[in-house]
Amino acid sequence: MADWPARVRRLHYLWLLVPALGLLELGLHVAFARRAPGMDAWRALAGAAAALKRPGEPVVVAPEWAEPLARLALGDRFFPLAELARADDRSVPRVLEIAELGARAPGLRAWPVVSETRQGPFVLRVLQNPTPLRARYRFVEHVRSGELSVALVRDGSEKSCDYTDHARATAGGLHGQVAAPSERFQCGGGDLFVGVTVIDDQGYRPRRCIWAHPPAEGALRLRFSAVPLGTRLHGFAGLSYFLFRDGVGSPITLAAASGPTRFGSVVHRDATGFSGFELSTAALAGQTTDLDFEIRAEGGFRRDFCFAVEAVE
Amino acid sequence: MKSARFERRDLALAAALALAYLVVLVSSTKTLGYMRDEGFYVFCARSLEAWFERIDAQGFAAFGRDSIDRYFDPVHEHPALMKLLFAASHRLFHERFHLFSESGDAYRLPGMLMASLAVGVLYLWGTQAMGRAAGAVAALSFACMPRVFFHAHLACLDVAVAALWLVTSFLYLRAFDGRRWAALLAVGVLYGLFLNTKHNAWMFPFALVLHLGLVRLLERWRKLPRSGPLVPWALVAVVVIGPVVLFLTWPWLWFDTGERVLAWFKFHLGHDYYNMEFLGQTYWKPPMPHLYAWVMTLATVPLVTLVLAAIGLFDTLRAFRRAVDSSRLVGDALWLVGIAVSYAPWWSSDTPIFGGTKHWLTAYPFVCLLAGRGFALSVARSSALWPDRPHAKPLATAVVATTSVVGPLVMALHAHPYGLSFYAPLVGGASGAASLGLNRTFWGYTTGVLAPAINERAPPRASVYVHDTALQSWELMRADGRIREDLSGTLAIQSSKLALYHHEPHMRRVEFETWVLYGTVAPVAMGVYDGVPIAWLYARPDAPTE
Repeated sequence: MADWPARVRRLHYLWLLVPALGLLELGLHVAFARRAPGMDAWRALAGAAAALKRPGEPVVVAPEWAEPLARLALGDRFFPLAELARADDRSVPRVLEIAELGARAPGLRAWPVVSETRQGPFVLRVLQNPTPLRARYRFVEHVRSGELSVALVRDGSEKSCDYTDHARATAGGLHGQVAAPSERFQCGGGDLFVGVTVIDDQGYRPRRCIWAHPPAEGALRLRFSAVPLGTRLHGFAGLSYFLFRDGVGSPITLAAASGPTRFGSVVHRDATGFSGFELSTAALAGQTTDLDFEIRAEGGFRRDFCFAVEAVE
Repeated sequence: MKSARFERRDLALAAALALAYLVVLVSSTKTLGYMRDEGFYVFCARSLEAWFERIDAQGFAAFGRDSIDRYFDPVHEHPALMKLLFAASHRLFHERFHLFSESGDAYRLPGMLMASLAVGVLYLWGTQAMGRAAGAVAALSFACMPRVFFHAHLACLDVAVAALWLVTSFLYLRAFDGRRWAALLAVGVLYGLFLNTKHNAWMFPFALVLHLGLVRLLERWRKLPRSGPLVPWALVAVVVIGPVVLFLTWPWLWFDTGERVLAWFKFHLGHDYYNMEFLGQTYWKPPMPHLYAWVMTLATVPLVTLVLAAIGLFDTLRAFRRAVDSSRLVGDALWLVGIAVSYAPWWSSDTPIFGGTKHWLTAYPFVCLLAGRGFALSVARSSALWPDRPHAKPLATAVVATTSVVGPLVMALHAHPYGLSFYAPLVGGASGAASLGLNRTFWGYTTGVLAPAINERAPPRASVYVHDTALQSWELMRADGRIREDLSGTLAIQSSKLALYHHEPHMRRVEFETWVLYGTVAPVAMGVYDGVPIAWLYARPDAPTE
């Protein structure tokens, strides 16, 4: 090597990069192992977060994978199920973003920052929805006796479903049915009931919705009373994506009407996951009236349908 | 030359390395929960323990069809060797000699021994091929791969099959150009045991044929003399003796042999697809991502090991191009073929990916041998920078060896007991991998880290929803006293007072069910690895703690 040109000899110093790489990798390992905040840091955040959290303004954690830590450290009052498993962000006026590691919530980057506070390893941002929908009525909040009546409709005859608030709550585990809540309208046995539950969407995220399994024949009708209508119904519908992502089930039709006024219908197919729709209610905008949802499916076997709708201005 | 005897010092060092690894494994097993597959294999082993008892009681009658069908029925998806060893270890070291207080440790011992065997053989092979320091680096690089360190603890088949691929290859190499009957018998018998471990062994004869073709091609190209007979007797031994040994040592095949062998093949060639997250997407049916095996290797094997292996590969290919002695050519070609064939199934987008990196664990010993080759070249080149310094070579050896091994060692120890959650710094560690959408955990074993919280919070005689933990694994934890004896595992959330959740995206619906039934979204305890939530525990708010 001594008789090699100096330039070539210098190149051989590149071999020292091998031990340097070993040291660098070790250093990076130690740094990466320590960079994400642990439980103590999350618990210490409670005071600052409580000062910024407002009812109806969900907490969003960035990166998303850290959210369970936030739920453990901050508790249920920061994460009401209605906010945590909301159908989308469109009718949310503001959110409180808790960010670590320089992350941002991907869907909210364009929202204006109302305030930004550093708290230890976290950044707390209040973000303003630039174009919020104003919800006049969230149907999922009114699934209870006195505000909703449920019936199975077939060949012009109706069979009403009784409300109970002490049914046995059940869940099917990974491959079984989604959770059946204690408070529900029961239409006979099994999965023929109407109640509020949470399903997984196509990103395996939680979506709180009204479970409304259609019967094998005829339709399931939900009649909400005294609904203050706006210009349209903004909604989402789907089935548990994990269970129905094969997309082999028969389509499900959801139709909305108020008395003789039909607002239209949507046809849901399994493989689309939890998908959005809008139906115009302009004809009765500003009125408070009863509103019917009618759900039916050809051969309604395992049609674990769930929907979330808002009447918006 | 290849079958030359080892120096006594090397045999002692190989044994010392293997023993040290075994001690580390045994001493660190208690914090590691039991995987789903461990639960199933222990169930199989218990069936075989009952068979042992029947042999004690009835002698030869226990080898009749009724007995074999009964006791080996649970042992037919995978072959019998490791389960027989699990069963024997449990009976001997837990029940008879009380060497292990926990039955799980005794069940795990054979797997740990296999891992230790691999470490010792890597040292010997590496030493023979490249010198002592390179052999040690190869052995330690394997031992300290964080995912290998994790799998090395388990009463499972993956490290065992990797060890047997390595050892059978080593014996094959030593018998390659000879016709000593003892060496040929040894390689044939070992291949039979390899076959009796896991179906990866099906690929081995094809690997050897590929190897032979490559060797003969290179010999012709480089005008080297042919090593041994045109078709080595060792290959014949593998093909002829191996299946016979499989038949003799897996009693399930003694009856309806053709039908049962066919069923074994069909089960694995048409295996169900399970879910696996990769780069933010959950794959559950073909086509599987072509880059899965390569990206996951980069993401989970320490980069220094991979870089050394890449240097070793460069050195080996360069040696192929230049005229080298046949023995290096034959040996290095066997390493390359071992890697290529182990990864080959993942060229197909139909191959399931649900087991993550364990699927191609058989490649890693050979990757580490190449890393040893890379280490030797790095030391040679680095020390040549200071040709006048007498201590340049030993100093370079010490520095490169230390920097090659210490990082992986720290990572492997730090990853425990979250082995499947480990990711290398190349992808930003665990938090970087979580942001990239790489799988955080599977197999339900992280119940182990939540056991103290379960024991503390569960009301008396409570049911605990075990989620992804197999009920057999739960029972093993209970039998070993890790979980309170009065607690029962259940798969029904509605009847549970505590509910576990092991995070995988497609399983989140289970967590949502818990939210609805328990009326809370706030876990009460969490297994967190480097700031990343891995598994967590819910408690029914109305459930009084003990």
